Amino acid sequence: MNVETHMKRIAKTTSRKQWMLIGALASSVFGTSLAFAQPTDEPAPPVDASLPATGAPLDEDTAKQDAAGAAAVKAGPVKKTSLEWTDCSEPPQPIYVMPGDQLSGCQLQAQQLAFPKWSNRPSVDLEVVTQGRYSVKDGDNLSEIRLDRGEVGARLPMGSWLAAQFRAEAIRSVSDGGALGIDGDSTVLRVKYANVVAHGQFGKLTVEGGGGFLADPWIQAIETSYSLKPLSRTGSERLLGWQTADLAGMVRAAYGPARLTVNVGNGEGQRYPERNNGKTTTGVLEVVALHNTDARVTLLGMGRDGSVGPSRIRDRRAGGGATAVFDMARVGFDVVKAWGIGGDGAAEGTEIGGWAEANYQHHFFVGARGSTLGYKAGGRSSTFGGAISFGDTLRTGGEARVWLAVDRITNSGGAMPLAGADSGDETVIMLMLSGNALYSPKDY
Amino acid sequence: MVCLATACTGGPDLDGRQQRIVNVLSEENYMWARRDPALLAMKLHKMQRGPYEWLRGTAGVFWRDTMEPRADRPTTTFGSPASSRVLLVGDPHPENVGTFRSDDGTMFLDWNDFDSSGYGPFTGDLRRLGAGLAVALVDPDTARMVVTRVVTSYAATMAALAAGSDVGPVAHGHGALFDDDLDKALKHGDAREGVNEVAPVIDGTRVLAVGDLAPIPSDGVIEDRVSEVSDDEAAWIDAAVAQWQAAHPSTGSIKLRARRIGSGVSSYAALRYNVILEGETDATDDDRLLELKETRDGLVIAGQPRFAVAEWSSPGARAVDTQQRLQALDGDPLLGSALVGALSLKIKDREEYQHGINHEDLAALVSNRQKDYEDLGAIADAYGQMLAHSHGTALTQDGVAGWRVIEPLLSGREDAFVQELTALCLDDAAQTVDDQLRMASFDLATLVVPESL
Repeated sequence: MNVETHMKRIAKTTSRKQWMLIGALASSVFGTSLAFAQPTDEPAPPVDASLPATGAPLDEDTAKQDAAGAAAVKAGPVKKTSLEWTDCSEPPQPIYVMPGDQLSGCQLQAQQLAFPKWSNRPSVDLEVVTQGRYSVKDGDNLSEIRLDRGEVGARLPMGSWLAAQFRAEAIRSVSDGGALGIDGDSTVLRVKYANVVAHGQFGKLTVEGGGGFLADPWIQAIETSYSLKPLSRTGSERLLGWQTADLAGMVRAAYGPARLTVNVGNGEGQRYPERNNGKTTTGVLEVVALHNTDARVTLLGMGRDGSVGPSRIRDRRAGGGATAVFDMARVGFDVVKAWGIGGDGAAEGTEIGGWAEANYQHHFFVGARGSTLGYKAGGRSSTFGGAISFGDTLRTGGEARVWLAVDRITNSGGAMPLAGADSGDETVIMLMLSGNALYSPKDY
Repeated sequence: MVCLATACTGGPDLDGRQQRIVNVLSEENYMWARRDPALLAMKLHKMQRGPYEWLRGTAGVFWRDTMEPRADRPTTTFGSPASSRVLLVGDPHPENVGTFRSDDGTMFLDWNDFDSSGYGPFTGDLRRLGAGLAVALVDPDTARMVVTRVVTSYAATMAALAAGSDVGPVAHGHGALFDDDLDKALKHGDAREGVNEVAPVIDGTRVLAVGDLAPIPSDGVIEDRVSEVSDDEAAWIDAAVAQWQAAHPSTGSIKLRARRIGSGVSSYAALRYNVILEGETDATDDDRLLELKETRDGLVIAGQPRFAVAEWSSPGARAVDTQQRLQALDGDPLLGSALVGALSLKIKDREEYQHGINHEDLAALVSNRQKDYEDLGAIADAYGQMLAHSHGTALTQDGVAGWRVIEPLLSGREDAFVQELTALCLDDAAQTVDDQLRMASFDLATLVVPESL
């Protein structure tokens, strides 16, 4: 089989890589996980309808070369082979290797890295989640159509070691439960991230730094392989009210399988400018404990100390978690101990969250998630849910999924809205559409 | 550098409760802090004058304490999901009752402040009322007696509504104090004292009485000031009145406009304008006085399943709609709202037919127990009746009359209800007094207004 034929085959079989690749790229660029987008670092060749479908038996030459590629991966040293299809002088987009992936030479190089490589390519991406939802509760049920997520982001390199990043998100202009927004309650865009980041390589040590509206490093770490964002935000964000972005400065260092991120910010998130003289420091340690063709397992540790508001309410956190990505599934969990919750410095609690998603040929997905926050003073708030979804990557770049999902909210004890009498329980059934697209031209 | 990387700060050390209070006040007053920090500082000074003023300025603290997870939050056995969606006054403290005159000339008492109205658990409103009375009356024994009467009256009125009885408005016959307030309001309203105070007639022409209508006390808080409006403000007022007149076409043109500062505690920093409208004739004796008051989002109960936003198009529209639904009679034919840019205004008749109750008048009744205890009891009954009437007759968020979801919870358990709610009210009052003392030595403005502003 010649190279051209193999390129065509790669074009037909890259969907799994693309899922992972875009997730990593988005994590690197925007601090968010786009676990279901398609890369565009290489233009997709025309698809030959006569090619075998993904997962179909390969011809003998292809099978031999795939075996050689897999062997090279397991052997460790990278060898350039005839399978190369990318100019390795142009840093490849970050990639997480999945079992069964067909690796090219540059991808073989990239997969040796525990964390995404610095990218010198400009990129623009769009992420949208919309849903029709039916809320079952005591009394009248509610039905509505929502735009849960609408985000657009861009990254523009400024030389080989510096880049500017911007991301905006659509939100409703009225405060929660309120009535007065902009032109009624219009959906408006607000800045989510706006920062400048720099990169340096010192031997095996990779160092990055940045400033501006930056992604929170903990949310970024646990969302990297979290593919159920359309179903629910993570437990840290949803139950602990964790801000996903903050005006901050960040330093990140990666050495081998370990990466440490230290973020010093206002702690006020996107809602307020700084309101006290104290700063909020967050440190996140990620260790890729296992990284091969069968699995990628990452262990996470986090600590935060800071304050919010003019009265300097404590915002202290310690936690950890783990994520694992396999060909057919991905799982993760996190545990966070919180001192100071939701504007109450006296409140303490422990949040535990977990999720799992399995797929069939990367088209059909079944996922479940749950998170619970137990207050030290008594009471518990919990959210659980699950979803089945169907999706596909698009040759034009991007990915779309249709979801049928359910989300359950319960409260007990002192966490009930009306302690002793009303738990505020709610079950939400959702039909969702999610999609995203990434454009990242090679020639720049 | 050390401070840059850690949470160390300057400023006074606050305990957990003080931090919570400052945080709530900061969030609730954030926009006012940005627009007019000096006026907000006056509001905060006014709150610190005493426990009752403190109570008036901390409805947000009360509701967060009541509805958000926290240590030692008391539980209740009188609630349900359905009764957590009752239409509430939101801040039914004793001074938020005032006199009104209906279309047929009936003078009655009812709730007069709907800045915080919204859906929530009925017991929250009742606790707020009971705590307000207990704080106003100061004396513990009197407070317990009055709060018990309020809760008892509430339960009895709810039962009467469930039985189909006609529970009318609170008019004359509920104690000498209330009777006197109703009589005075009628007298002053008929004399058009409201418009004559703001814009007296001089040589046959109405002229704004610009300046302080009440002396400024030693704490520097403006008590009642009338001032000219800027050109921008005049344009807002004209636009707002034009919107309002679409629903009130028979009203006349604008004669005068003024900014008014000094009313209220919680809404002290809100924009308030007085507008003198031409009456039915060119003469000055039928001119009308309107108040345009900035209105913001009301009560937001955490943890309740609901649509992301409220059902009303603006806070002003909410205040108007809820006033009409919660009052026993239509007490203000001029009531309306307007939205000018991001400024939501509630518009109402400002004539002296509408006059608020003064908590000091209530407290004065305590000094002469033998003579006035009976009067206090009657007043307590009236407060309980008013709140129960509001809750019981207004439709809940689910579209049913409130009594349908409240009365079944109380039926057969009235004594337990009175006992539990009375205890909760008195605890809330104690918390309010404790909070006021806890914050008394601080300059609240320096704590609440962020340094970056």
